[in-house]
Amino acid sequence: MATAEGSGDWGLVRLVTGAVDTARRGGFAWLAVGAAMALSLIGIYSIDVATQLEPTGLQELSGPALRQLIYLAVGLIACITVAIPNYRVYGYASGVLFAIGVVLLIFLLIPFVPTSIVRPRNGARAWIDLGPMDFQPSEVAKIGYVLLLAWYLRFRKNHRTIGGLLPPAIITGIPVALITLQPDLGQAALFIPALFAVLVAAGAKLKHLTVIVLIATMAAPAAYPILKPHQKERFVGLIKQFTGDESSSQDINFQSVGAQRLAGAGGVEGVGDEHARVLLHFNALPERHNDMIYAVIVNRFGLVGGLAVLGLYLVWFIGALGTAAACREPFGRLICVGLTGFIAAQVAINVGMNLGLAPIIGITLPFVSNGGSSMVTVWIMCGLILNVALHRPSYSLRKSFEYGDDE
Amino acid sequence: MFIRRLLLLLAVMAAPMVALTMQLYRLTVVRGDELRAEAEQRLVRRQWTPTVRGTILDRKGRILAQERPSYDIAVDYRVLTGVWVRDRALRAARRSVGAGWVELKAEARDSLVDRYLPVYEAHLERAWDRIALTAGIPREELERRKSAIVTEIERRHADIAQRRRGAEIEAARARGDALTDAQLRQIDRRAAQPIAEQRAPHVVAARVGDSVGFAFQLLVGEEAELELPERDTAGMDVVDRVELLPGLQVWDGGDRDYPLETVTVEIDRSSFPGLLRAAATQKVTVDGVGLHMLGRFRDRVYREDAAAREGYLEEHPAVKAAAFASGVDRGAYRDGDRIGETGLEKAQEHHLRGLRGMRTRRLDTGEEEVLEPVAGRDVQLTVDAMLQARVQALMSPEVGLSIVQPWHGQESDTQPPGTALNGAAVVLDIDTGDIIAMVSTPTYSRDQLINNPDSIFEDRVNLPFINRAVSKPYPPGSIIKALVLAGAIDRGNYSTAQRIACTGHAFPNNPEMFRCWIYKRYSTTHSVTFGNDLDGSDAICASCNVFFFQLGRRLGVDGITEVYREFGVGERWGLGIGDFEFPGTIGADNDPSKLAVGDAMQMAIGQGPVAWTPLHAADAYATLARGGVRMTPRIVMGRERSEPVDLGLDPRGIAMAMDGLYRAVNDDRHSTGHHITFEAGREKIFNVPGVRVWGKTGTAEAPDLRIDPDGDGPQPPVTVKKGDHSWFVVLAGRDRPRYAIAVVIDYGGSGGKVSGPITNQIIHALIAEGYL
Repeated sequence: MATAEGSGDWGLVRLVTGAVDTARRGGFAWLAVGAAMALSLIGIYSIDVATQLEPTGLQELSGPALRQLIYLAVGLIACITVAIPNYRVYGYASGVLFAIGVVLLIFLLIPFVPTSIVRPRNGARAWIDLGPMDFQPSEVAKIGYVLLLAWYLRFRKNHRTIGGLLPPAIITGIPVALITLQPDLGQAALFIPALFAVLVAAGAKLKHLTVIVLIATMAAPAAYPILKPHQKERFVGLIKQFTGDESSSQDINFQSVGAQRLAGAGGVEGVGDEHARVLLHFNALPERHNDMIYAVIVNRFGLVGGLAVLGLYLVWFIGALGTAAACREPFGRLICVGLTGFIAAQVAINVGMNLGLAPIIGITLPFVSNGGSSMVTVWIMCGLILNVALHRPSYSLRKSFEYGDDE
Repeated sequence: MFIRRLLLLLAVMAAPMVALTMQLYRLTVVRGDELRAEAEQRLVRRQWTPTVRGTILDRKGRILAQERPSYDIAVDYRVLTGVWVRDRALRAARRSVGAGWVELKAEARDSLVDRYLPVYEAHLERAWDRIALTAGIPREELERRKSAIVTEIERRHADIAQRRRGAEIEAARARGDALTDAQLRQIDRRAAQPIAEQRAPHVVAARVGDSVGFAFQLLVGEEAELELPERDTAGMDVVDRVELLPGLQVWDGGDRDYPLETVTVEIDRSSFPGLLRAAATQKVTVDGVGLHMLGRFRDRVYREDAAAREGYLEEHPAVKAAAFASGVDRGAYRDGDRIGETGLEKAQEHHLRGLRGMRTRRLDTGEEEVLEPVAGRDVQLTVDAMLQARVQALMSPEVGLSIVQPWHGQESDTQPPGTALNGAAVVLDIDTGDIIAMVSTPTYSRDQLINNPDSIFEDRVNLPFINRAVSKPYPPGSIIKALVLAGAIDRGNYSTAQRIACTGHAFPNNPEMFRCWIYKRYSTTHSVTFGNDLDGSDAICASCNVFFFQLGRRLGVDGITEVYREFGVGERWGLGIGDFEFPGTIGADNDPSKLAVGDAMQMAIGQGPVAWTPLHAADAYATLARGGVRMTPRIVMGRERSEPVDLGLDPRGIAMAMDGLYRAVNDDRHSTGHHITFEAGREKIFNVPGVRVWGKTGTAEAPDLRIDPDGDGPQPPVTVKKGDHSWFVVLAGRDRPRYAIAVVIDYGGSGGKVSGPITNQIIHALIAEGYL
């Protein structure tokens, strides 16, 4: 965890003691970091398997795998950078961070921005072209959003009444609406479980939340008619799969059926490195290094590998939520919970997509899927959790806190 | 409380993992093997290699139809015009922005499309080079062909658009609608809709040989990956998989050669009747020899064809097992296949077809497994192609026997002398039931079929596409009399010792009905000309109607129906040369139950509610010649048929009928088939030295041929042909009857004068071909 250049002997001593202290204080957060690291490495290997027919070993990773390795490096640097300042700084800056995210999201929707900067991809204006790396503002918005939400909800009065739930609803509504307009329904949908996770953790009345969930569940079908045709198609496709209708396996269900086929082909122990590359190449599953990477992993490592990856996520959740539990003040806790909400939702949806349980809606698998924005974002999230773990508030601060375990 | 809620959250987050784990288990364990097999299947590529359709031979092993491997290389019209490039570029552009496309302005779309155009243009350019190289034609020649096709199709499109437009405007005017500009624009738009040719592939290299066709076959379905000028979210190059040679199709043109399609025969006219006789031989060239039997193809395969194949395979498990040896039906129809549409090519389709070969290639290892094609089986006909050609030549108008001649005595304003006559002839080997010649005129040629099909299929008067020998119903006329006599004696309705008076008309007090022909023409009776009443032999010899009216009355409806049935009326033979076998009918809708005794009397002279074909006639006479043993006629060698059946007819009846038939062509006083009287004198009809002939004329009354020129329109039908159908059926042989020959000439008039000389020449032809 050495980042600063040593300045003489004194610096070296501080570095060593600091490292020991950091390791001790990090606690649960290290579980999350470790799991994230393992997932990232599995990801890089799987991307190589998915994109290169000839096994060439670690010396010669395929282009995307190599890039992913660089993203991981960038992600780790971002993680450490984010972990250094006391996270309360982010609290004060949360409004500004959130606003930056919103501005970027609005920028994407400005009609006259040339396609060289915002080139629609898979039908959505979700990306800003930065030359070497494309950048997805909705990822940044997630972080600003969690910070602002946590910053607001650290006051108890803010969430114990139904009226107090209105500002969180607005904070959520703005990015969700902007992302929906891109349209990137999948990304937009991730905010909802994150919001609920934060609300539950913040101590909002379960009764209120239950009512909201019930209303939303009942209202959801009403939203179907306003979906775009290609979005409707995905739901129709999923329903067809559930009902055993194979008529669409060559068109709208092509990707889903292909992913399931490759995952299933992995069997219990996987088909091995060489054969996985062959199968993946000639089965030509679209986006296999990306949204469909889980199918690649299961193909390569079988049921065992699939379960191991799920297990690593479980470890990550435990690490993140454990950090929240160890944290004695609400802002830090809520950050951890909110971020976990995003990751958990993403995992459930992405793996569901790969296994034919969820519609294909362009959600990446955190730490594993190929992609710079996604990789850096999840590692920043990791950094924030680590930050919360490392910066235990001093006793005096704790005393004056608004949130109490007085129930 | 906080910890409790965190545990709750952890539980909620872990819950989906339970469902995911279950699904993971289902896919990898429960369905693992199945999905693995599916995924592995994609590593394998199958390619078909063509098979060869069976050869059709005549009875002497002459090749009638033979496959010359040949392929047509066709390319989709949109590729020919280059529209394909724009389509692909547009698709790529759309895909790159997905649903956002609709929000883009036209210019933005165009500029996006323009980015992709060069990729596809370059690919298509390479593809054309490859096609030219593979086909072995210069690129310029290929370009010339392309533009010729496009020009032609565009011209056709313009024509059709014009016509559609005209028709719509006409229709609107007829309704009295005034057309607004908007409506006119709509009409224009509808009129300009693409025609079928603009969606279909067109041949750029026709009839290329085996090796070129095979080279193309290997390229069909090969794909190329084109790098598009964009990167995906992961920065990977985006590739578009397109066909290596876009829109390419290889049609198994399987050119069929017909070496005996056109035959020149020398005809010796020294035995011809009257003025047709000449010392010199005549060379006659005939086209389309045997075409009616061999049949033709079509290029389009319908769903019914697949169903028919399935049905055939179900009935033939061994064939099915062979076809499915590699798991899929290697004989299944695929687009571009030719399929027999008529005749033998249709009926023997499954026999002739063969099984494709299959090349299975593993994409990962490059391993190949080759399953060789199985050629279709050959079919041999009982027909003698040279005899067939001779008979066809004899019946062709240029020879003169099959045109209206002044001495025919035909008094028909619809057919003045010189009019070509249509008809049919069948030659049957009595001992085997083999059909050795079967001609129907007018014939048509394969050249006509390709270059002027309207002259075949639009000729409603002459119906060249009909095989009259087996498909067209004819009234039997007097040729039936020999069979009726044998049947009546067998049933005890008449005994050989009896004599029946010819009274001119069957009912003494009604001279207008049921008259004898001799009474009609010469106002006399056979009893007068013979000097005594007639026995059965006399009656056949002189073709006395009154005698047979009496037999008809005695037999009754049931008896006469039985006689007809015994001799094969009402049954299809299942020759295996197509569906169009007319089975022969008795009574309206082939239902004799409503017939009266008057009908039975008419049927006894081959008139009334009864119809058959020339093959029925030849077959029935062959049965008689065999002493009452029926054998199903055969035209495909080795084809299964029912065992010969002895009808158990009274031999006295057969003997008397045969005696009558002998006299009918040999008695110079009373018979109808012995001679033709010319101005210069009488000439014997049958003049083959050393060959004995038994036979019977028939001059069958037939309804006029009327054609409604405008379908069901207001104009009345026009009578195009009038008169009687002319029959002659003979049994010929040196010692005993060996061949049965039936000839019918539509609206030809007298059996003896018109069909007689043709039949005589067929006997000469049999000798020329070494049969008698």
